[in-house]
Amino acid sequence: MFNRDLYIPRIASIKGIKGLTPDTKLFRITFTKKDAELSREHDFLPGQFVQVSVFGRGEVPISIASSPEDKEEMGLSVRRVGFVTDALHKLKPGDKIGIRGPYGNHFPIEDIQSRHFLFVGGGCGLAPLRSLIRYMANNRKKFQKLTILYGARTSGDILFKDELYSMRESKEADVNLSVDCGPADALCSVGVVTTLFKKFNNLKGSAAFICGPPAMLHFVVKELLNLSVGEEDIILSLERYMKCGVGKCGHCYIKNKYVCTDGPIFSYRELKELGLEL
Amino acid sequence: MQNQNSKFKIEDKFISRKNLKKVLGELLKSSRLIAPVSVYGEIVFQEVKSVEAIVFEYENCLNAPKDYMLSNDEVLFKYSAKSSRIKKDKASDTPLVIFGSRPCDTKAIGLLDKFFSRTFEDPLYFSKRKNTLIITLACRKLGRNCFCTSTKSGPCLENGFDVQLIDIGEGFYLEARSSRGRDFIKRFSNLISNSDIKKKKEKEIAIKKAVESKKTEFDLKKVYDNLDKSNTEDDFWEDLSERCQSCGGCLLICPTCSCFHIIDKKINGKEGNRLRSLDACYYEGFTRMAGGYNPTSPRPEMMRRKFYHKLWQEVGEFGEAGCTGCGRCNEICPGNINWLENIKKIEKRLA
Repeated sequence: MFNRDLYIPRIASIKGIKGLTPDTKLFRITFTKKDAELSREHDFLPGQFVQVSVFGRGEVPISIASSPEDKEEMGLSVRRVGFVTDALHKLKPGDKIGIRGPYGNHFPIEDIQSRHFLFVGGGCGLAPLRSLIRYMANNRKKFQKLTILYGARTSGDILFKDELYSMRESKEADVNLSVDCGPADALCSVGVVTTLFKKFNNLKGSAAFICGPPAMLHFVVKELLNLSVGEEDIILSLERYMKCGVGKCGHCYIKNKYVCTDGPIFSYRELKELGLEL
Repeated sequence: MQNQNSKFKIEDKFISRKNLKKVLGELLKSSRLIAPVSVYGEIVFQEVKSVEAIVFEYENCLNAPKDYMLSNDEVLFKYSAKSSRIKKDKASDTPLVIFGSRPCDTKAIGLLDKFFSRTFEDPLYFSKRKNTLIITLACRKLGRNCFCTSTKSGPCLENGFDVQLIDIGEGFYLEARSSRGRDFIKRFSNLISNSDIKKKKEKEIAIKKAVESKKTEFDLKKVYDNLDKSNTEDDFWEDLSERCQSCGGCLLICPTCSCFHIIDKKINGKEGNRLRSLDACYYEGFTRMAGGYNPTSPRPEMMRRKFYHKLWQEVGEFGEAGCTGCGRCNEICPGNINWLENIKKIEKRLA
């Protein structure tokens, strides 16, 4: 863990802020100098999140959007949607925040036997997926075929647009983008993200990593099942209201699973057993 | 006589009523003592400064001793406005003694011990817990709203306690089942005497009388199995939740409930505290996210969530129910929902 005491955050500094969309910013975080040694020891894995504190306002769970191999700084993509994220967006480089974590489980890439990795993201759901995408893209020997299906509301809402376009250019990944409302351009079509599945007729043996708004999850899972992706190979990153992030406050559990400790990464099969209606 | 006495474990003793009061008086000198007192006609657990204030004849206190392990406005740490410094308070070293906890309440704290050491150990909870001695007072009979025999948490505990006192008339049969309990006996060895066969017999009669004072209300295994099998039955939960006002009373008064929320509260322009307080899962915003999405809405869903958490998840994970049959929720509910009757309905109906 980055923090020594369970509930006490480690102080981190905002190294830089990049606006990604009108309501989302990427915060590049470093730990203070004397703790830098500690932070390198305590690594994280793609899919995990940290509890970000704006002291005086509160604390929110934010997925880590950078690759664990990026040791210099940690990237957090934050959408301004509530009380704390609003305060976070008003901060400037050099300001201090609190970090607790990394918490949660991670994308189970060690167990996956497949060769084709599909990333399906909607809106700000691309954030946790980006950590995995960057990690896999930097380890092409192990992870050869990467396909990204990403949908946003409008062209201006596409997260990490530059990176996605450059990945498409360099053929690092097969990048497919869609926007709910046009205009379309050469690089993205108009329609919900499920329309991007049209080009496939069979995805048997692939693994799919999905993150996005609840409504999207339902339709994407349906498409994947129709394309013969196995239930254990459909991996979702869930979002829930969290307060402690360590399985104690009781806000995030679904039946007998705490999304903050047993999740947020679950396979579709596990969610079926939990009786979760996507 | 000598031979028969040596058969008993060293932890089975006897204490007279007079000596018990002397022990409590001694404890007051070195610890904070929480005991049942009468306040405006209600019996509640409160800190006492004298043994005379303690009530020894009562059904159960309105509040649970859990309030002393999990309270409101607990300071997690103090932060400075520029957030370059965080300060954590040192935990208090004064030992805490809770006297008069009924078996249901003691079992509830035992359950909280298991919960707060699950996955990550909660430092705040255990900093209080490790300094606490709980003296359990077994019940002579089940109360009006009690159903501890159904949840296997009373009227007398077999283990999972420090010290347990069972009333056998001329005094109390005293049992210790933890190292804290054994230290207690050692410390007051001049006021605690040995037990004997006659007293043990009297204890067994007292327990039997208490157990038989009320019939068991339901079979916990059957309730667990029924919940395990059924995943839908929406109209059942709608029916149950019709009278719920989401006041949160049942959850805030429950000895096993531990959900909390955390807020940052300003002290002055420079500093603030991060505080944690008890929360209730029936509150409308309990699972609501910033964008407005609420996975546990409406109320029937919340009700299903609570039942599954207490009677299915905790049974499956800890081997014991997340409800210890104290009946406080039935006392306090303004909608007269009756948690016990609903458990019985689940036992019968969902099958």
